[in-house]
Amino acid sequence: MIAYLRTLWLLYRRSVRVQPVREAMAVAGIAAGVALLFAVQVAHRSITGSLEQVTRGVAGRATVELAARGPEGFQQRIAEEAERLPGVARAAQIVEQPIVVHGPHGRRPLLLVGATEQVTSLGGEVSSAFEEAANRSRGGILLLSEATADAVGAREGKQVAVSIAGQEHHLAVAAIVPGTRLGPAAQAPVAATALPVAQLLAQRPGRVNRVLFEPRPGREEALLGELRASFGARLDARPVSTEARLLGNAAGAEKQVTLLFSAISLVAGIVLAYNALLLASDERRRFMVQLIRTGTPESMIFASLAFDATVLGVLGCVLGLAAGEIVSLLAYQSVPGYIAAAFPIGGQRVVDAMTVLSALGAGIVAAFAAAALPALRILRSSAQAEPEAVGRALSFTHRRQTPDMAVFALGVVLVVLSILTAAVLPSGTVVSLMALAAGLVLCMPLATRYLLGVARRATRRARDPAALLSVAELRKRSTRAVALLATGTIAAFLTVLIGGSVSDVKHAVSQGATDLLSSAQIWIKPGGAENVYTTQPFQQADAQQRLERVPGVASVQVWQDSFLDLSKRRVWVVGVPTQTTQQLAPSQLLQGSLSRADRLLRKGGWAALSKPIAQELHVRIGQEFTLPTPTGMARLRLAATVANYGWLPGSVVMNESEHARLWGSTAATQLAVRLTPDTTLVSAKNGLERALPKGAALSVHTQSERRSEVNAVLGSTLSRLNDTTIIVLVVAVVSVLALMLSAVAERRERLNSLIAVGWDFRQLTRLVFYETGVALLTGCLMGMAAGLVGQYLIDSWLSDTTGSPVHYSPAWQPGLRTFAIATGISVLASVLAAIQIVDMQPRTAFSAD
Amino acid sequence: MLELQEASKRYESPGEIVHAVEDVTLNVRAGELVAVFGPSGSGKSTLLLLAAGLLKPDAGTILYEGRDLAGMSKRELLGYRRTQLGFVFQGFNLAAGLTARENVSIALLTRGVDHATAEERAELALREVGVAHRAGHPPDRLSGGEQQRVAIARALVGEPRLVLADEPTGSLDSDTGNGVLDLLSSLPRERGVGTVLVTHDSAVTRYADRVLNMRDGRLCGDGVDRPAAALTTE
Repeated sequence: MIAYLRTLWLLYRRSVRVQPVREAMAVAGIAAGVALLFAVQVAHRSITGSLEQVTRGVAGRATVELAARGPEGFQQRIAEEAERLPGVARAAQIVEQPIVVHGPHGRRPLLLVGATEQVTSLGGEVSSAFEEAANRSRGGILLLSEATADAVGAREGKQVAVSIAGQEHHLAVAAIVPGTRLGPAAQAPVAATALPVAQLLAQRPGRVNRVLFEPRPGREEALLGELRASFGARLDARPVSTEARLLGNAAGAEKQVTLLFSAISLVAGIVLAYNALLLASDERRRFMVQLIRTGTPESMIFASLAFDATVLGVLGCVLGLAAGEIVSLLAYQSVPGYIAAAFPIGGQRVVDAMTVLSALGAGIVAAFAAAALPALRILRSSAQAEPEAVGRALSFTHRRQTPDMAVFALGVVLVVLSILTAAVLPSGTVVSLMALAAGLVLCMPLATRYLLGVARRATRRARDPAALLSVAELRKRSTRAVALLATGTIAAFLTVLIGGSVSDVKHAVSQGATDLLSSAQIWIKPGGAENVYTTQPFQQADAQQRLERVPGVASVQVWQDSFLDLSKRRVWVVGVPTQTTQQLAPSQLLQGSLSRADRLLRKGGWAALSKPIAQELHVRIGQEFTLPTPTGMARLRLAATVANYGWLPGSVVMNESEHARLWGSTAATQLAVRLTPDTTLVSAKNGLERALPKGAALSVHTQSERRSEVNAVLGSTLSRLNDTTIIVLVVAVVSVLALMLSAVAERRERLNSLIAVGWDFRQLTRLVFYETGVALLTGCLMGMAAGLVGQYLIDSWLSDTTGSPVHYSPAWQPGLRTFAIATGISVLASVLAAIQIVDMQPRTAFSAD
Repeated sequence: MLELQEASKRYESPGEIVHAVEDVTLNVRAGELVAVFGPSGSGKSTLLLLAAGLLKPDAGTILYEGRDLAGMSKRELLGYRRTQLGFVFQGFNLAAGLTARENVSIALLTRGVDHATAEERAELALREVGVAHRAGHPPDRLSGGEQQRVAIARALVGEPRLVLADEPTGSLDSDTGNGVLDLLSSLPRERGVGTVLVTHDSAVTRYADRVLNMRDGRLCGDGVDRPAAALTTE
């Protein structure tokens, strides 16, 4: 067995030595795909994994919770009543309040958690670590994790500024909890203090947000039932894991989108690897013929090809995992802004065995997929070259090859079917896109032959001998042309598809933000970009009065926004002031009449829902539905269905008075300031900042500043996705350069003879450019066309998946940019290749001497 | 026409110096076929590279029509190879995707001749070498002998003054090789074109005006030309 493996290894080493560029290119192709897949998987696993770790760390053995539906929480006496239920073994009350800690080194948004002492009895590591730190402290209020303290520059015993509920406080740091004590939750954005302190700071004395319960053994379901029966009207009784499930839903759309793009990148990697393997198939064939001639067992020949693919897969995976690790650290380290706004997720990375194994599996499958066709081709042509020596195992290769025309026809059918399927059934777009990519690849050989035939006719009477010769060479060595064409196609397809659809989604999100923010010139809210959905309430009465007196201010309107947990999703509730010109953002309307919905929303008792929420509640326009609110189950009617307003799980729109009634609170979450016509933005902004009450932790933004903030937070996830596809483009560029240079090296003798007969540098440059650049650029044009079709298909899928009103806008810009880059690369590579040619020793033009 | 005066060329590699051509003196006259005969590694191809101006001698002089090749600029050398020389290679070096006619006409297109004239002259050249009936065929549909005939047509179509032929029969059987040698000895001679032919095919002695025996980089004896008859009697 060892001897057998050693032989396989020797055969592999020989092929690497003969074709190192081919092997490197193939490995790079697989690695690029694996890297993206791994990075995306790690990023997503980290999001849900980190929340699970924090939840486990705080809740310990608690598996059931009673949670408030709004930020105001509920009376502690209700919590105490619940704790007395017979199924409860242990319980702890918790107050949660978003805060921002400002230190000498920076600011950090955190979730301040105040808990009763019983929390440590639940056995959560995080709770215990904070409790230990509190016990050894000699004063102070705030308990910070080491990561937070380092980030803001806080020290034990020193004060830090803390923005809480629109007010600024200066609090002494009681203790810093070492990261080692917090374990996997070391990066969690959580601070702690005693329950009464938290209640006081949050301005909610005697109120809590949730109660954690450790049920008595075997009583979990019964306890949940009792809690629901007793408190279910106004509070959510649910498993502790619900938060992670809701997060999974919130991150789900982004996960689907990024996974799709990563899968496309993996396919691109396979095509690049396939190109590389195909390129050297002639040399490999010659070697196989030698092996057949020398009587090598056919099982060894098969095993050798399989061994090659395995090594390719393993090397690609190892390199891909290393590159993916770097990508995930560089590009995916931060939590997507929109998720961090609604869930306390830190930057801890969770790399579990499943993530690694799935990336490895994908890499190996990709390597075999890339190697299969070239291997089959090598086997077939080797067997045909030595028909006498071929045994039973290789006899299958005598079967007639599928004609190119049939392959092309299959490709066309796949392309057409994929377009039709995606147009009729948007949910099938993922499969359609895969079919489109496969169809394109199948069309490539015959398309190349046809294009070269056209080029042959066009250059037949060309004055430039380089044009004539290059087309002739390409026609004879069409593998290289196919490889270049495919590389160009994949690069352009990927850029246009991802660049275009990301731009369309960003535009949709931006349009929603623009519409929503256009009702006022200036916006005032607590917190920074982390409060992008403005769900942190603050008492505004004093501020509102002061602001209304600022010269140039026409009106100050109160907005009330909040998150609300439905059974499957955490939705964003937008409470629009009735004074606002439009209750609904026109760009977000999906079904219903804008004017009628506007009228109904102002009237009250009506709300607009995002499409998936309306579908889950089985409600149509005009019909009644119930919404679980902090004051009980509310009966509302559906005025219209809308897009998601930039919050992927979906939104509910109602008027602000309705929100205040249902949430039982008059606290604002943001203030919209309208100015008189003659007022300048700068003077009004300065005036408003000066007018804010002393100690108010509120920031004043112009409409465009708010829009930029929203776009930056919501677009960042998509932008980084776009950025990471650069890996595939870099691999494509390297592949093209390697392809062109290896093409020169392969034909050294032939090119030397051209130098000998008097071809000059410019002619040689043109020859290489025509041979390689033209194929690459033609591929780019084909890729652009396919990318534009793909973008059209994916846009409707994105519209469905993300709930954003994505409109198709052909991505000419990224397409043309790719074309320009490809042109630059072609020219550069041609010049490099020509330099390589003229620098060659011309000895090989003549026979070996 | 072409004169090598005590030309030498050596190749250096780590720990080794190879004297590929040493102290060679040779004069090729118009219309004359000079065969350089010798085994592999004797320096024949280096001699051709020196004659083509693709290598510079380490010592000695190479004169073409009285002009020292070493004194020519790159541009002049390019012009020299393009207009004054014709090449015939052992492996034919025909472009696989072009027809025989195009393979010949491309040599003229490289020199800026217009397409129609190039095609016309290519046709004529193919007729002269006896493969006009195969003008529309690509090289892979031609026999080895036919391919070499096309290569000879390509070498001559530009009306060079000197043809450098490198093992032109190396890839052919003896009958076909004789036909090619026949062609290479007659056509240039008729046009007053000098030919240097390097080979280890002894049949060349029947066609060459002079045969030079080359061993270890030196022309046999003291490097002085010998008539073909003298060599055949050795």
